Amino acid sequence: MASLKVQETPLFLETERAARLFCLIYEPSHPPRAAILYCNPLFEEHIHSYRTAVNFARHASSLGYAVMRFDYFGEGESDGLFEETTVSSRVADILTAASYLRQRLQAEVIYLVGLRFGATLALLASETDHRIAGVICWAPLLKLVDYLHDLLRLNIASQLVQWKGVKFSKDALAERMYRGETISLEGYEVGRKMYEEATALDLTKKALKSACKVLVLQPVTGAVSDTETAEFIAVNSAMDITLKCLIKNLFWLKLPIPDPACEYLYEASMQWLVNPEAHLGNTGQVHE
Amino acid sequence: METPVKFMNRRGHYLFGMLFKPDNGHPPEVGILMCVSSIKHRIGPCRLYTLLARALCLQGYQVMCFDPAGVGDSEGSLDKKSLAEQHLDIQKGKFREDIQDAIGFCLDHGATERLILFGLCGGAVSAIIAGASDLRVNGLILLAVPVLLERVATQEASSRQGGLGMKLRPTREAPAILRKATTFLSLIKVRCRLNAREVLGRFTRFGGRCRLAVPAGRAGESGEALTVSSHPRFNHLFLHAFYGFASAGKRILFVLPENDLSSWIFKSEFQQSVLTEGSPYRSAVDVHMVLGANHNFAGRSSQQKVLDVITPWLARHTPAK
Repeated sequence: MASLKVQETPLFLETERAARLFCLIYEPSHPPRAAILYCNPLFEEHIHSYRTAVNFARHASSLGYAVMRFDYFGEGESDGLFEETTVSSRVADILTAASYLRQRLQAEVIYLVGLRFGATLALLASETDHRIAGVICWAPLLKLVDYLHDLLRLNIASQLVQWKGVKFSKDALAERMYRGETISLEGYEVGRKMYEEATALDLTKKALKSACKVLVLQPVTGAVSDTETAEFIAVNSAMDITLKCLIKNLFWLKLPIPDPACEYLYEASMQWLVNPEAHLGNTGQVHE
Repeated sequence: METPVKFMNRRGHYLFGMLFKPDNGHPPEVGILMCVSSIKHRIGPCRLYTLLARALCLQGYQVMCFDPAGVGDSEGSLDKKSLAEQHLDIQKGKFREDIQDAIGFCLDHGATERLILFGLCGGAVSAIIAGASDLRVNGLILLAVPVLLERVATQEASSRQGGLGMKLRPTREAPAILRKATTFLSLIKVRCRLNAREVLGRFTRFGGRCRLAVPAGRAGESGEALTVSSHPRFNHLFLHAFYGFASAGKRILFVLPENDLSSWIFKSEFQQSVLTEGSPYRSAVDVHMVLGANHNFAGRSSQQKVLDVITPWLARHTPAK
């Protein structure tokens, strides 16, 4: 199928809090087949994977889908500061963006695509917005506590560089947050509510209240726990979840080869989007 | 007021940017163009560029952050190279043309009379290289500028003559023990086997001992060469750009993060040679060390300190009004 001409439109979307979210919409020249809302990961993973998200949006829109990418409040070029945000505020931003996209395109069908923490947030958003037809999760974080603890360890490592010793242990950092201060995780200021909400998230223990279809794409190697993914699927047995282990380059990390080719990832996502009933299969076959 | 913008570069690619224009009703007289670091997009690490742009815009400056071709939301694509090679290309001026095209866009879309280039790390090198050859640029703000070229495996992969006349194969074809060598020391051990002619040849190739020619009459003794650095990876493009910019009487602010190796290399390989007491370039240059900052000035405290350094410097040399 020939690629369609695509119009890329940047805009600021106003939320209920009268804050602006920076968005980019990719619209094909013909009425779109469906709408896709891309949900960013957090912290530096957002920076490292930025171009991959851009390439995905351009790829999907050239196939006839309207795609919207946006920055959460407190991130990117949206209003606000990171320390003013929480998990809930980001879910609210996704719902706002989805609502806008639906209205702008008169679209009945919206899919969410999320990477890492963005995938987690997309799943949470699908619990509230039951008109989300499906969620595509790229290497979703299913248990956030380990992820946040790894970021805390980075903070401690940076203390060793700065002060030649640990001034604030993990417990001391947590104590600072509980006192109302923020702590720096990868250079981003995190407050108590954000930390508490994130560390409490465990999608392997409680079923999602969502009826949408889900595609989970995980890395080929053991970058993500197979057990966690299996537990997530088991606890959400009432949902239609497809799992495929095919991500071969962890593009959200700072890689020696930047901007790796991820066409296989886009194609797998779009194939499922076109026909989620025809499961891709759980054989973990890698696309070259 | 923040406005997303698009403009075409000389190669026909649309480049994406964010223009921050003051809302005070006065046309801005000073513009600041922020040059991306590495191949990260225009918001900068930990949103540094966006936050600084907003703060400077509130002070009355027009600021633009933009993505060069192949980066962020701009068209085009990067060469299929490793990150180290991308950095090396940037340090050699890869983004110079896009920056100069962005300068043109900035000046066309604001009543700015003066333009400052701003950059972190690779963005700093890009800024000084682009600014040195552009009369429209009046000042530079350079954060964590690397004065050495990125170390890339291919640099050491060219064939060498061993001390016994044995030809050492390029790194990629080297025996497994060399391929697995991950320390610079291992490569140094190999290099020590080179014969004297090869050593001299390599120094010549890398411009090993960079000499800054001081204009007659400005250093006391006419035509006296000033030795800057003997480091084989010293970036002489940076040096020449510095010379070109500073000798035109334009101002440069170097902002160095305390907890970053690049700051100490800057001091030892450049500052201690070029910006000594009595140097004709000292009056054009300010150097500030931000205590507690890492390479990206990550964290709200470091970002605020950067703003606290930049604000008075701008007010002194290029006030908004």
